[in-house]
Amino acid sequence: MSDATAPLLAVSDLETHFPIRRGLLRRVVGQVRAVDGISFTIQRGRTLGLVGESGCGKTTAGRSILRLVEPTAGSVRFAGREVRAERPAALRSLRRRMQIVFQDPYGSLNPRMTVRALLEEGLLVHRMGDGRERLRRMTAALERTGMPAGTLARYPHEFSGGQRQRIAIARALVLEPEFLVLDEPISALDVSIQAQVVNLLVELRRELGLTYLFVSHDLSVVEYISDDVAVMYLGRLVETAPATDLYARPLHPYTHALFSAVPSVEAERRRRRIILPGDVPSPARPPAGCRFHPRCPLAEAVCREVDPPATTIGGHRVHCHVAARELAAGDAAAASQRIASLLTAAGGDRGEASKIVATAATSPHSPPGSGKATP
Amino acid sequence: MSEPARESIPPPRPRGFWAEAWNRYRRMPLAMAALIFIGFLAAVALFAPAIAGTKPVICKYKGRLYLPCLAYYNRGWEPVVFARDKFRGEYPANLEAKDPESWAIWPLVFQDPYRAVRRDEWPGLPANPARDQGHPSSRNLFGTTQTGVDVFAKMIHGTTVALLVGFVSMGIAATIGITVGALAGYFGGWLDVVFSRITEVVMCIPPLVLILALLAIVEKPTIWKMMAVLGLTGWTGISRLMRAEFLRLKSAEFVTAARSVGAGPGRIIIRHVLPNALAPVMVPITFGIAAAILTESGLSFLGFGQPPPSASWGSLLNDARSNLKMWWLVAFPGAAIFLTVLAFNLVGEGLQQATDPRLREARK
Amino acid sequence: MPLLEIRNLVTAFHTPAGRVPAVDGVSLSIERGTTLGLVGESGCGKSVTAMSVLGLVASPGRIEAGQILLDRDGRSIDLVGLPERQLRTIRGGRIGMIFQEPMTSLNPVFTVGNQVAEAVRLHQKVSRQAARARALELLRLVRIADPERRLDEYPHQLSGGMRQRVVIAMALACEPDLLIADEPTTALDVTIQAQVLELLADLRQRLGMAILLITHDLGVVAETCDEVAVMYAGRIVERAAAAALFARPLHPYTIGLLAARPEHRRAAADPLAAIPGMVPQPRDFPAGCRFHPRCPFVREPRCTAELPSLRELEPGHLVRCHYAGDLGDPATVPAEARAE
Repeated sequence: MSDATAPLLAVSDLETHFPIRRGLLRRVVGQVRAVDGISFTIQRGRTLGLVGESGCGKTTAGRSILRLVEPTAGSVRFAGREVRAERPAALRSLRRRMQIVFQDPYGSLNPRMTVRALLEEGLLVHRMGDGRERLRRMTAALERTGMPAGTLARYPHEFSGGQRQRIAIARALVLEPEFLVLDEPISALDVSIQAQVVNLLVELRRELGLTYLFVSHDLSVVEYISDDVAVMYLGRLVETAPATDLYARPLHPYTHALFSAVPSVEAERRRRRIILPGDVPSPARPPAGCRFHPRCPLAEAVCREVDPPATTIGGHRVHCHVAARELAAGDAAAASQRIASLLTAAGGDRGEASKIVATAATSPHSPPGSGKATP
Repeated sequence: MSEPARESIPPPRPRGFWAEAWNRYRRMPLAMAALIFIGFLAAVALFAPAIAGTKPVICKYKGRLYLPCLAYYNRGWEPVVFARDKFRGEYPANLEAKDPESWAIWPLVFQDPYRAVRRDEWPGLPANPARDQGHPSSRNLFGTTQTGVDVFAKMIHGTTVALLVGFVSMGIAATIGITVGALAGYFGGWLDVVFSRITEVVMCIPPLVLILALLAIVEKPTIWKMMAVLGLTGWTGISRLMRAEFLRLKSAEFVTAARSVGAGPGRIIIRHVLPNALAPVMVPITFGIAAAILTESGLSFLGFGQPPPSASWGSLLNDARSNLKMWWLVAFPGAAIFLTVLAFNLVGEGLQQATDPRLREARK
Repeated sequence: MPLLEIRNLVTAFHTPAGRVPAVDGVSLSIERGTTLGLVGESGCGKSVTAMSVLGLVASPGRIEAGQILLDRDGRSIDLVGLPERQLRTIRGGRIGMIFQEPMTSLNPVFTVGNQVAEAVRLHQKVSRQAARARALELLRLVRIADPERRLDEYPHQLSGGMRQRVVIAMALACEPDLLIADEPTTALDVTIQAQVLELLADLRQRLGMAILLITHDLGVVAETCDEVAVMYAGRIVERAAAAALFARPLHPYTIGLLAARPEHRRAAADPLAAIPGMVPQPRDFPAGCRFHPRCPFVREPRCTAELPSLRELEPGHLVRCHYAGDLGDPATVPAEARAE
């Protein structure tokens, strides 16, 4: 992931916190730390997959990069320019180069506007060409996404979910961006349509030389479409690696658990299931030390106290004390195997593991840090 | 080229939101009947001087064409020549006398909403009966008032007043309400705090009291001032609704999408949020028109409206107060008010059903 | 004799736009203690089938034809046309149901304990305390930690996974013979989904319950179901034991669904084998086989003109396709020309 040439996107210690206000005077009583210090880079033409479960902050991260949500700390450098420092006018022109496709094909297209109006908006705002030129660009963008020119006169609700998502992609493309944030672009679609849209995205990437940030919870699609993958948990990145590396040799216990939880048709792909106890804690009160420790079957004393620093081997970066120790003792493959077997042993009696729930961690109203780890 | 979605593009049909709503509305018989009735009222209001009046609709006098009936809309529009030639508002005899070559096209019913018709004003027509003698007859379809003014003419011209009151006052209220609500909802923060408090203050004052107070301050209560007052007091419900809609819609994903493309707040408010927020507000506006008409009638009935001779339906009811034996003074205006308010309410309900978002077709 | 047998069920919606046959001649059977997976995409009619079983189809929908036979100690009752009062004893009593969205299945203004106890009291005449005790027991059964505290908490205080467990507890209140689960884990995170599926498997074993699992996720079906039925456009197109279906899918739609998954492709750089076209809307159902516009194995004239019937190609493996078992090579004609 680290190249001699400058990356297209470089995110550094990005934080996005939302204040929690209580009372008549709306005093700030705490912060929801949706994104709590993430760093990664994406080279031009490559795709970074960002995976995690709901509440981990991946959607907020995508939007923070585009400043659709204002980050509260850190740096986002796009093509060498600091996005956070840009003033509104400059930001607007920067927006042309960084676009986003949303998850919900029903909500992201204004139901009262024709497809033409929706696609034309960006062109009008950025004053790209006269009427004829705009029409040409819009038709070209629609063609690219497999929709006929007649689409322009229709309203979004006349189309199916898959078609709407194509329209949304066309809208993002009409400004000829370099970078696309894809925020769960296929989750809301039917299974047989998902493959169509994924193929479309891959084709567009090749034809137009696009760079993607692909945010999703669907691990198999992410593996297919991404060059590199970052795993997010409770506002932090726990592991980042090239896609093949991550899937073949995951190091972080959470990554192991995540992969093992996906049900699969092919029996040989099914991993020994590691059932994590409890639920994701609230991002308003993340646990001390390693954020994952209340649910981690391998948690040790150090994990409860010290936030694990990054351990990097090759292009593979992980934040875990146990993994660091294993890596020091052997190579990545061996470490990954050992962690897998430790996890299976720890969560051996799966019936028991599910019983012991970190009670404090599951209720948003309970005080932090009182979660119990599994024995 | 990726898999085509071509073969499943539906054929073109007008599918805008309002087009679909109209389709649904059309299928509701009661709502359509109410809409047709209001259309009928609008026609009556527009052509009132041509339906009932003592001024010719169009006449040729001394070689030139005039439209004296327009004077009913605005006193200043009465052609000056007739005042110069001392017509004193009585056209039939004077036209004949002062210019034998004149001709005129008269309104359907020769009666005046503001005064009693005198004997032989129209050749062969007796004077309007006054006092209790004025029950409905073939000459005075709806009877006459105490002072001999024809009720039918008053009702016809009263339609203009009623509809004007409804639409103008609600127009003012809607403009204020939508603006305040939209700004408060979209921008939030201090603007919202200030606007919301203002809204609440206005809401807390009982409307009738406020209206009467404003009317008392105003020197001459004309119908226009009445409409302004109704408008200035009736905007709070709309503003709250708009604010709620804006609060909800400003975090809608298509708004975020518009921002991601570079649109600024002005564009977003007007092009994106407002069209989506207007539909729910149409319904209270329609109900508001009915309420405005009812309020104006009520005020006129109580004597707070235009001073006589006024052509409002409520003023007829005011007359009726002291003359209960003259049932025609109650029945006709009462029926008119009832039917009009009912019609607007039915239209409002029809609109509500037609614009119900749950009934929107959504394909998956 | 199977616990539940659906025969030729037809459920249609009478909308102003016309008659929409959401379920168009569906036959299924579930044996006691087994799990049947009903797979299909949105709009195929799987949820409506489930709702029809319990008579919960909302107007303007109606069951128009068919039988739904529930076995009760040797005697079978036809649930179609059963008077509402009797249906109510079955709902929750003999057949439990859980839905996709746990938040909307639970009433936000009542406590968890209240709602579970209510589920108990609806079918058993017990006192309040007894119902509360049973509620506690049920929360333990679904492995919610600290159940005494949870009894008095409100749904919004619980996480998604916990709420789904509460919903399961309510469905199990009277130890039904059959549990209908309509996309129970679709709205949950994958790690929570694993917990819930684990729980369902465990409960099935302990209580000997049959499960009708409705989902669009083939992986879930592969790992949890004994039998699978695939639905498309209101009809069952393939039905087999899970192992047989995934080892040798016979219907082009099933083949297509399995082939479209990223795991299926052979080389890393291959594009995904997507199924072209879209699921047809009921008013746009094509003549002949409903899948033919999207089928890579379509052959004129049978596929475009004649509706295939469900045939048993191998013991226990039924397919609704004229040429199943003898499909040949997928057409090399591009999709545009094919899909007219």
